[in-house]
Amino acid sequence: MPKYQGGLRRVNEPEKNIIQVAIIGNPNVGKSALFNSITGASQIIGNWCGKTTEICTMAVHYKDREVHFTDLPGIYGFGSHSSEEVLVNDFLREAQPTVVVVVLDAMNLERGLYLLLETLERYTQVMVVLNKRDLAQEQDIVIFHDRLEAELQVPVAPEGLKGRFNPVELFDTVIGVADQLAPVRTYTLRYGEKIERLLTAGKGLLQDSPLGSARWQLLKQMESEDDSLQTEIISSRYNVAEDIATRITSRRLTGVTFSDRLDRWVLHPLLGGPLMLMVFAVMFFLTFSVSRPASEWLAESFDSLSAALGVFLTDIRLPVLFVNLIVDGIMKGVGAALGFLPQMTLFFLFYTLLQDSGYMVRVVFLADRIMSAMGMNGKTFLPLVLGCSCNVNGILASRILTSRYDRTVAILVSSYAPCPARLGVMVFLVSAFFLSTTATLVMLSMLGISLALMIIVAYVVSLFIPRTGESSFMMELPPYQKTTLRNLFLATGRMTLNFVLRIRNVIIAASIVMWCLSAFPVGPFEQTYIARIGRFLEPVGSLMGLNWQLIVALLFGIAAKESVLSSLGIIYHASQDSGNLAEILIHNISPLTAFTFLLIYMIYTPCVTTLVTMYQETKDWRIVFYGAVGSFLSAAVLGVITYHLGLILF
Amino acid sequence: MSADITLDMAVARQALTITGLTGSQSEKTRFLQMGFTPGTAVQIVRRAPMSDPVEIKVRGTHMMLRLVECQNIKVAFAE
Repeated sequence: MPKYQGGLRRVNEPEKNIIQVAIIGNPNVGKSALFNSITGASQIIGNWCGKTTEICTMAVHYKDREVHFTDLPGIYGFGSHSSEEVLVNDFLREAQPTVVVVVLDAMNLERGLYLLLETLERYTQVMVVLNKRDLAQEQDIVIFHDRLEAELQVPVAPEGLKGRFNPVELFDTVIGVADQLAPVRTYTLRYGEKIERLLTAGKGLLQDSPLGSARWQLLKQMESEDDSLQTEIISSRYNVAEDIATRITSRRLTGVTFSDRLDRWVLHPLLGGPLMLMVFAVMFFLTFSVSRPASEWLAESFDSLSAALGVFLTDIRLPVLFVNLIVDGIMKGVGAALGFLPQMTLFFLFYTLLQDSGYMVRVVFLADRIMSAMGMNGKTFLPLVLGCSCNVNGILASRILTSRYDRTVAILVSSYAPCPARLGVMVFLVSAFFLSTTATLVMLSMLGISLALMIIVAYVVSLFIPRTGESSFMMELPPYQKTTLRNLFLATGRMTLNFVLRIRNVIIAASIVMWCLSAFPVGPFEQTYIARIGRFLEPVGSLMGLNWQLIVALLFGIAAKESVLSSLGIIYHASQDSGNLAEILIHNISPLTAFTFLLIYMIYTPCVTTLVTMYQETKDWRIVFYGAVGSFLSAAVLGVITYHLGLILF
Repeated sequence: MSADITLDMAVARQALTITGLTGSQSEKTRFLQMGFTPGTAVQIVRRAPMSDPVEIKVRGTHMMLRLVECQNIKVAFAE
């Protein structure tokens, strides 16, 4: 039963001092922003529909009471027609909140009011928070929230203009609603004659319950049983919503807004695509160029730190083997991963900026046609972009996809995105083996092959999971939005922290395992376990032109992609200077072998951290198995073909 | 009034009124809940590169839909 994480305490006997508050609203109305400002948490805020897919509860202490706020995913009504609706309904059924807070978007009142009207039918203890009033004010639209309050007899807490939310007023209202201090609501939405007659006839059949009023239950029953009744019920609610929206706003939004003007260029049928590529190119360029000094500084300081630690540990007479484990195993692995942290943080910053502004939704609009030709949803583009910073991020971002097919494809495809660790190794090897024009061609062909593999992956997944839910593409295209620096830094910080916490254990464990395999039995490297495994696999590897040294390097690559270079250095006894390693490699490996090696390296089993994340996100071993073994086999097959084709051609 | 026009056939900026919905039960419900009720004004704002998906304006907000989804929305020319 403890399905909802995040500190929600299940209370069977309602404890007097705990008030359960559920925050609901349409997608993208600023529920998470509200949640953050009242709880002080830093759950991501973004202009992205359907981002809060994890239910999060936070406790706030106020006037001897404990108020538990739960942030729920965005919905349009109470039903089970989307995964968000199912999630919200399950939560409402199990947690049975005392107070339901409906968040309204001042710029999108009709849909919000529709949800509010249905909530008022279902629950008695309801209150409203009116968000984005300042956005409305920018358009010279005034929202008379007191009229809404009077009309529906429901407390309305308007969001403060220009500043942040004043939680005290909200808490007082919440407690007032919870203690039923407010006058009893008498508002009832009246339907057409036929429906009212059916409602009267059904009276007594159902009871008011914590799950919803009898009237609402009857309406839901009618909706599910009769198509035309459903249309009538929903239309009636929308008519009232439209009517109220007109009466509580000073004027309707007309004319061309700033967003409309910007979208003329951003979503231009011809220029939109190139513009998008430019935006991402600039983003990646800035990420890597700005972060390089920081990365180098971090790597150097970590190196000297670990050297100092080595001296210290030797001084206090710890066993040499143990010192080596710490310095050569753990510190080295962690240091290599830490080197990527500055660029990761910067990437998160730019990504958050684009996401909060509302640009990412537009990217989906631009990319959907091409993506769907490849068997993917347009939204898959975002995990792919994030996957280029680290495959782990791509897999996490796959949450935005709701259908099982789309999400599985996004998770598997993300692990083919060229991450910085892979690119670093590739650039080094390509520039060592090939001249400028050839080098560019080799790099491009690698990227092309990964893209082709993504299409194949999507096809293979479609054999196992039917492509239903294709119709679930529809989503809102919200106006562009300014983001506050506070939100930007909060979100970036949270993503970075989340990332570090997520990978640290796996990185340390993988470093220890790889160190043990390469340190025992003590003696020359050729005798160690890892070398023995490499030699054992050499007959298979030779089909692809790989010697045991390269196989060992690939094995290290499964622990962490970036460690391929350092392990090649150890195996070939190269000094620290990378120029040296390049020379040694050129003497030992033919360009064809190098090309085959690169190809395999690009597409074989993703790193352990990625595989662990795959499991955490899907809880499905089959997907991890495909991710690990499927890509390994496809890499092997392609490797054999490439190598033999190369032998024939050159 | 022409009966069998669906939203995907419309030209950008043409003023239309929703007359009905087709498709699966849950799809119809989703459309209704988002305000695609009969009588609602709707228009296509623009089409994406290669004309799919399309951006539409309904109830004062912009939404994006794939063409296959638009085929389930029956419309008539607004007076």
